[in-house]
Amino acid sequence: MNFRVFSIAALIFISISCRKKLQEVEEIVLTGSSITILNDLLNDEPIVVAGSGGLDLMLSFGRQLDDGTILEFELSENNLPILFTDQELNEWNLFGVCVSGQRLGEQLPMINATMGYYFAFEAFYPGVEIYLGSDVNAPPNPSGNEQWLIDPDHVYVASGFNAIKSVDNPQFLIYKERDYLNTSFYVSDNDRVLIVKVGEEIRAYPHNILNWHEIVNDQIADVNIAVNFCPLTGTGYCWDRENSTYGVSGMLYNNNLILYDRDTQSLWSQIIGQSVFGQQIETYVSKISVFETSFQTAKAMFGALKIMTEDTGWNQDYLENPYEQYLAAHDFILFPTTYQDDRLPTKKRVFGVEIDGKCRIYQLEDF
Amino acid sequence: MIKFAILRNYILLILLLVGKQLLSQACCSGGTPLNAAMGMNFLTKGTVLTSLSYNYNLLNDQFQGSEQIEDESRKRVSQSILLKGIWALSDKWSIGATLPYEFRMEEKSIETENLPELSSNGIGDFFVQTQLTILASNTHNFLVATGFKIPTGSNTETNDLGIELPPDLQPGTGSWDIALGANYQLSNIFGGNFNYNLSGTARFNSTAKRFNDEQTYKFGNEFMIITGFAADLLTGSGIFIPSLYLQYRRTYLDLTNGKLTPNTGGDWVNLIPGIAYDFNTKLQLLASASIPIYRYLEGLQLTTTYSFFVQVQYKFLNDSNELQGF
Repeated sequence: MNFRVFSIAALIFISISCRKKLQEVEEIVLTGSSITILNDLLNDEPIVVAGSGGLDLMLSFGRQLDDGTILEFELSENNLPILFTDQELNEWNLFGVCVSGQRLGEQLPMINATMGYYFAFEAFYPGVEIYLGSDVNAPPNPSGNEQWLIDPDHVYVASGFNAIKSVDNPQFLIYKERDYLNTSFYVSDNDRVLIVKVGEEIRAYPHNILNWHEIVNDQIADVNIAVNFCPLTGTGYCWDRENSTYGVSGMLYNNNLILYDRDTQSLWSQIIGQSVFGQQIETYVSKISVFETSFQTAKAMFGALKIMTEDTGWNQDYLENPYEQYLAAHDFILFPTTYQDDRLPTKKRVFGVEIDGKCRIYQLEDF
Repeated sequence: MIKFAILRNYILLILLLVGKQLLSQACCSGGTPLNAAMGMNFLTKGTVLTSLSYNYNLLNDQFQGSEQIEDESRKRVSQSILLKGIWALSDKWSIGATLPYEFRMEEKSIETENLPELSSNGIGDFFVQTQLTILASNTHNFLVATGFKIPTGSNTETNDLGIELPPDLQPGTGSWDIALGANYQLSNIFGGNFNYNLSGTARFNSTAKRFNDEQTYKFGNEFMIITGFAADLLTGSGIFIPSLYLQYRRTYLDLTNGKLTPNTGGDWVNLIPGIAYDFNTKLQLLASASIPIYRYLEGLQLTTTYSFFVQVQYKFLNDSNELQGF
């Protein structure tokens, strides 16, 4: 009897201790890293860029709302995932949703922004602006032809169709730190994840799975999405795939993933977000808010995180990174690009924001 | 007569070892594996050996490391037709040349049927070689060979949209490569009708240029060891020569712009059963298959499921050789 009481007391004590320890870790992660908010203009559009090198996190939204109001943001006093406070004292989270104040429930305008390697942004947007950096004059990219929206001379076949297999039936688990305190997990703290929110559901897609598959055709609530990641350019997006699914064509433009849709077999450029060949040519994709951060930051922000599992339908080893050598060779890119300069190191990981063809790069260390 | 059987064995083997591997470059690192077809011909001075062969290589397996990925949706077929000739300058020295014609194709599925074709065909890379017989006796025989591959095949083939195909789908490599080989044979064992072979080859590739010289590409160097037995079974009108060989092959990672290329390189162990039939001293038919029994591939790669090789061979003998039969 005494032993049973003692056991229960011990379990309660351990549980409280673990929870307290986890809370401390989360607070250290979230409060120990400063976040910088930058109210900026790009192509005459007001945008806000939020970043934290410590949290490995960069985000951007438009600042002009449908009613014409231009918001000025500063860092919220609350912890993440609440991020901004505006001049009207509304609070906005890192998905750009107003969580308190008179604009409760409103969504900030989404803009085309992603983390990625410098060479990709300079290739897609020659002469790309570098925030606090130097400018350069660069010729525009060569145009396409009757069949291609992009210059086919810079389209390369890297592998066969579906040589890289999309995941079409992803599985998820709710990650709870306490379940893995004494065992390893297939995603480590420093690994990066793409975070997608649709409705109230937040899901994390680990890079170490995306490295092998590049596309995850998923569904959240009633929304069909395609999370896509290009390991060669380091860029990740989430598209509304409507009723189709996407596959990996094996082709690259400026070393960046070209997807194909299985409905029309049109080809789509990931960074441009537009069909560049086939029946759907010139059609733009509808993008869904996504951002990239470390697994550690994601755990700290969201607590019990819903994360994609290794149960992808393919019996692959996700602890191995097939691009380890590629990433280690800092100045190495696989295929020729339309344009390249040396203002920043080739594979420097930066945050690119694009509006109507004009792109600006922000560097983590400036935040 | 015994000397004939011994030496023709390893001369043809080295032809295959050195020549064929060089002609057919790696295809997703799987490449066209060596076919240890055991034709047996000893070439004395003035003899000219000719052959026409066909190789079919099906790549329908995918591996990450040594783990097979459960996916048969990708299928690639690589075929080669090889026209070979070798001329014995003396009892020790021979020179030869091989001209290949290559067919390469990645099959499309229903969901990719409207996407551009991934196939090519054309003359491959020309291969020349020299061979030197160092040791020739009734029981021990040793041969070395050197070969050079000349980039006569195109490595700039495009698909129907004008987009250049990847290196492993090109009929040629664009590079000048060197091969070294050696073959040892122990003859007349197990009662006299069996022969043991041990061969090694090394292929050292140079760098090719692609995309208007904007990219360099080098196939990974390759090393291979093959060992096994062949038997001479006399019949009423000719000789059956069954054989069974074990092949170990290592290919190092390819280099793009001097840097390691993801998803290339690996190790293979193949079992190679074969059968040849000598109709007479001049004409031989042979066939072999290559069956993988172990594979370790870097990254994720499509690799050989099986391959087979058939060859018809004819020997032009000089007057003195005409008198020597089996």
